[in-house]
Amino acid sequence: MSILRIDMGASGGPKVSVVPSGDYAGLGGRALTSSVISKEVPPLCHPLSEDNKLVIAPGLLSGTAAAQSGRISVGCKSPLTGGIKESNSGGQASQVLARLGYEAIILEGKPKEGNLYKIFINKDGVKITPDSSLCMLGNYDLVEKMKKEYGDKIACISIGPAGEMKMSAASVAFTDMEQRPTRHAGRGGPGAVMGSKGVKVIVLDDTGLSNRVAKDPEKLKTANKAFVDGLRKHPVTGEGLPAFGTNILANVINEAGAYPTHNFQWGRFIGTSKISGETQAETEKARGGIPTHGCHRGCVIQCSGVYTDKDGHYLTKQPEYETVWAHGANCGIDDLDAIANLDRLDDDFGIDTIEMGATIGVAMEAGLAKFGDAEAAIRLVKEVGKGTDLGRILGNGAAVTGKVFGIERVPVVKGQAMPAYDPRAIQGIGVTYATSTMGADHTAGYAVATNILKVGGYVDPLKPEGQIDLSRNLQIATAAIDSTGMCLFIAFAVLDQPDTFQALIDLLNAFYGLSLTADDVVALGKKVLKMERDFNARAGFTAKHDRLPEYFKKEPLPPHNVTFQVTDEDLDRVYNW
Amino acid sequence: MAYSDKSDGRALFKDSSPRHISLTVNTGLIPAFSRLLQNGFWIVGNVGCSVKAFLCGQFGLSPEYLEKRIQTIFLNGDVVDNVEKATVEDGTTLSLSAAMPGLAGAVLRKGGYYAAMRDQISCKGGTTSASMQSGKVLVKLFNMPLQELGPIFLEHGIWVESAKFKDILKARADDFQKGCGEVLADGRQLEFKQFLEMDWGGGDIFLQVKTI
Repeated sequence: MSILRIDMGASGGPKVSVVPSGDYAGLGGRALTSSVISKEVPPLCHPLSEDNKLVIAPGLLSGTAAAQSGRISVGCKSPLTGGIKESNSGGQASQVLARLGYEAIILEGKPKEGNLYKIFINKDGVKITPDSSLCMLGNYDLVEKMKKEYGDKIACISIGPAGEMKMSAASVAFTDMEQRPTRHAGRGGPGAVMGSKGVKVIVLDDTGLSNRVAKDPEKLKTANKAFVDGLRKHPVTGEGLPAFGTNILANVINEAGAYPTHNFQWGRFIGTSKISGETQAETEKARGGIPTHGCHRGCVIQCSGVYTDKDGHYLTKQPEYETVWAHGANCGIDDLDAIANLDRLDDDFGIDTIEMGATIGVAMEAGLAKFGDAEAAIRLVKEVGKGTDLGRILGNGAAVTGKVFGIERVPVVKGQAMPAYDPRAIQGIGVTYATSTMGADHTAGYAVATNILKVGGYVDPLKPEGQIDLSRNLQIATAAIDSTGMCLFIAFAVLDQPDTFQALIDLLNAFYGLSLTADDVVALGKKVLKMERDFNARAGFTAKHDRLPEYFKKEPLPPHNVTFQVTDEDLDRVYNW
Repeated sequence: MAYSDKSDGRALFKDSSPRHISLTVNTGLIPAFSRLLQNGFWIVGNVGCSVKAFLCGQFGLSPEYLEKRIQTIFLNGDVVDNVEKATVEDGTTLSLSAAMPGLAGAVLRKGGYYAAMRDQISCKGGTTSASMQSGKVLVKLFNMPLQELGPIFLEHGIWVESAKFKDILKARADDFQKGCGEVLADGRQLEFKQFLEMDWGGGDIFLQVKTI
């Protein structure tokens, strides 16, 4: 495996170098992106400057026969947070890029003449071409154009108009199995960094190439079978997620009073059953859509789906829990079709659905639209796509929008909008929101398998400090799993089934001929977090950035009427290890 | 798994004319009741007892199903960790879900490893009464229990607002017209169209839905 470096600012036009992995050998996913950013990007640089880099890295087992190995990480200095960023996505690109033999693509520099480029990569090499006809195309039209030009066996990595306009909420899109740009590395604005490099699309074609070969193919096959069996027999990965998708959470989080509603004013939304995963799946089935579908080949969990309109025509992929919440309850909207339309617009313009939904919620509180007005929400998102003055404000996220319109209730940490769990009701998640290196991020502490991984030793959950320790351990475990490039949803099966975790370790060992242990995986997670924390410190972050907005400590959240009670001193203990 | 309603509970409802409606429908129409079951329906039983005694002792839920399948339980929005201590009272809302994904799913799990992360909304338990009384409980079913327990509760009868039930029928009137067999209103057999057009008044109805 080698690293493909493309200097977009080289004199005479973009310059390609294929270099050995060197210090980065054996790393994948988040471990690789954060290593490169930490080592090669000046922490104080402007995120849209030539000094920033965009790193796109498949997982350690991508391009192999291993199940759930298709996540791809995108790293940079974030235009949204100003800190280090790793945002990951599903889709086909991870598998294809790995089969092409690349451990990562690193976009460097910045074109001086302002051209917009497409990059085509296949087994024969790399071709970079300026193409002004791609300017301001939405992701859907862009992919259709690429299919006409390069055929229908490709995988695309692209940006929409939001990325070209360098908006801080811009995502990087990845095509799915049907070659639709539905999977996104959305958080933190990596699309703006890709836009600043002048790259509209990277087209990957692995025609003529096969899966990567393991050191011990038989052992890999055996481990993969055990791994798949473990995922299939677990009620979350084998039943709940395939049947209802990630939006299965809506009813439950709502019942817990932790479902942020009307820009985090309440913890329950009266219209939840209209937009729940259960109702969504039934709607899809009734219309001929698909409620059970993978986002990439090799996925056995199948938590995604296809959402069709009332006439049975494809509208968008099954909107995820976070998207349904962000554009739904958070904006008072209880119409699944409207939410699906907003999801489609987000994907087409290339913007993060969480950031956009949170931003519209802030805009509604500012009086730009009424809560519950779906048509107005759609109009506001279209402003972003058009790049109007208002659209450019909204496209730079909730923090900017709140500042421009003088709103105090802005749910962000380090400038990044909170996801769909109110930290007053589930305070341990608030600890992760506050202290994550990424800004408010539910997936930063998502690997619910710390006890199996034995991260941090025994934690007494009954002691008050338990949630600090648990959050720390979760962040370490998550950094570890993100670094393998495996789908984080495997953590549920790993949590309850130690043999499934062993199967994961066996997969890595079989492929690379190693003898890794759980301790090695945990050590990797710690190393990654330390690098990220160190980068942020050099970028100017201090303990004061590891805080929730003040109003979470003051405004009780109905129905439980609780405030965030974790002290600043306790938050500062998260990184004491 | 068996289910037995100990009382039709009419005396507990102040509405002067509760009605008993019984439908026989094609299995394919059961999902039409999904939102009604998610939003909640009333069942009547003896209250002042534990969640386990209420569900298993009175409604025939197997202890194994409660322990293994129902991994997430809320009592009035508080997360239940111990089904033998959390007490069901008159007017309680009891919500049942399978194990959920995500950190939040793990955090909300009954007696889960991450329970400390939501201590502020955990059910602290109540006092079971030596003499249980009859009362009504609002039950909400989500995800797998919705699919698995929903048809059972519907078959044996639930109390719902008549207006909400009528909304369900109106929303899929054509489907019900085709897929509905016997319709009984207080024991009187009606054509579906006639049933839909009649004046139901307000209040709650006792609804039973059987499948063909």
